[in-house]
Amino acid sequence: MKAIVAPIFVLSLLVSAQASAEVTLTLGPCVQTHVVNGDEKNAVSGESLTLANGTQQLVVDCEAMLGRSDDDAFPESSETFVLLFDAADAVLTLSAPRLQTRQQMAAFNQQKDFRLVNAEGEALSYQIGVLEKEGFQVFRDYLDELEAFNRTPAPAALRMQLPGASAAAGNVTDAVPHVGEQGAPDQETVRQMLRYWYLQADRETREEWKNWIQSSK
Amino acid sequence: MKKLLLAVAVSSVAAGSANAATVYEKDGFTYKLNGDFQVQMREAIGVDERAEVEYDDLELKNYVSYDLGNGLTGFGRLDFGFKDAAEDDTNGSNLEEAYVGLKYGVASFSFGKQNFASDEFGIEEAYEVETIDEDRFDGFETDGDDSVRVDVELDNIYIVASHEMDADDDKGKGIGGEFYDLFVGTDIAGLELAAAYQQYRPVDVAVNGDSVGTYGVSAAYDFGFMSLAADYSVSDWTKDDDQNVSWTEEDMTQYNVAAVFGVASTTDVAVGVGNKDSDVDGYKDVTEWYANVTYKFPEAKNVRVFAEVADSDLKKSNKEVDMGMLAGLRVKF
Repeated sequence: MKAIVAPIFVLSLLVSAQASAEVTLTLGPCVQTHVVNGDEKNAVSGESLTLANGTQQLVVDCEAMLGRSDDDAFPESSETFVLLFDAADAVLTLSAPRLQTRQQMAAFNQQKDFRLVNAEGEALSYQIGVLEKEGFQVFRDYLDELEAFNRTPAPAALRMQLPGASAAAGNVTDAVPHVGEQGAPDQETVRQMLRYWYLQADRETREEWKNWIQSSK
Repeated sequence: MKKLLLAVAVSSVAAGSANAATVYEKDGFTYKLNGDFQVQMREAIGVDERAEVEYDDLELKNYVSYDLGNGLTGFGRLDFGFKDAAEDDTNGSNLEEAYVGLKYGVASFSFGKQNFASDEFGIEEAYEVETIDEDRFDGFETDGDDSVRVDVELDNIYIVASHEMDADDDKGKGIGGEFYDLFVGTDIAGLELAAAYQQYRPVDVAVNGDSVGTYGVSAAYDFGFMSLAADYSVSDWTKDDDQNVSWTEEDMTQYNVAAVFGVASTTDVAVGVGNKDSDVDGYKDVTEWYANVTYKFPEAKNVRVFAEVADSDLKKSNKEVDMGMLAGLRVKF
């Protein structure tokens, strides 16, 4: 009997450990994603995303029917925003204020007042910036725009540089990895770099990388 | 005529990567394009009516604006409707709105061909009302092509005032003249309240120098599982009904009650009733009721299919009218 119970117990521990080592993000009314951690991902209001623990970068906007009557209400999008936050082992909800009029939409674009809360209702801090595009807006290449955004010093940009590389590329010195006092790399830098290079990798490279991790365990 | 926005009836929409409405944006210039295409298979309320394909809305709405700096915006609107062209198998379109204006902060001023302030009034939720007007304002005029209009949109209160200098008799009802309209709407702890007033000075001298006064009040509340709304409007002269062929000094009243149930995230059910009555002896009041269901595709909630049944106690040629029904598809962008 024990022989059966023990593996089940261990397995359940593993499963629960695995289940908690991730972030679940539910999108509130009107919120939709375009890019999730470097991948194109169109998730709409009501959907839940499963994210790996760590730094999260999303490209989101809010689409709502604006107008004072059903007949006169038409779909309109907010500005497109880049959200950057850290989260681990959490169940989160990202929501926007109720948007029903153009006035409310204009205020939201100005204030960028998303609410990011955990299961206990506590608000999480985040960095936010507007992903601006001039000219035709009909179909946008969010991945390309995000890449350019990440090269700017905006607070919501995911900035990264190789250790020892020149910090000449503007105001990005705080993101330059440094080596710990004992000569071992700083683990936060390692985490950031792993994430950075994962986001840079194409699908094939990512699969190879995942397989390598599996085989390295 | 517009309706108060019932929250469960108009939920947020889903879409892909396309940016809704805004087509072009650069250096303070914005161009937005919206559309509303709605076609129905309809058997109207009436006697021995036959089913037809009806075009309710075929609209393209163009909006341009320039940021003029210091909080000032210049804008213009040009809306084309094609339903009459489709219905009558004729060429061309109908210009529905054409105006320009300036916006500063919470206030905007516009002039041209546009809706009156009283057009904001009303709560009915039917796809079609056929035997009564939507409300008493709709019994006269709610838009004109010589209109000036001011909108003030504060946090919790919306005020619109408009003046039509010289309305055309485009509905063939003998209604032409000057209109002054006022609409005020507010939200108090989730209770949406609105009031409207219209003073109409007809060119027609039959009202003995008097003006036609119409007022209305409405309330709507979202209970979460349903939204409930009611309106009441009254006018003191009438010339818009089969039962009155000339101007009559009478209090013509109308009420509407409507409820919308969000039965699923994709599906709304609405039921409602409207009644039109007069204080003139012998006037037979008319009651119309309707029930409709709207399904919004989860992948794109701007695409909707709907169906409605409606009936009225109106008699035509001493015969009771038959129930009407319709089903259709609506695409907005």
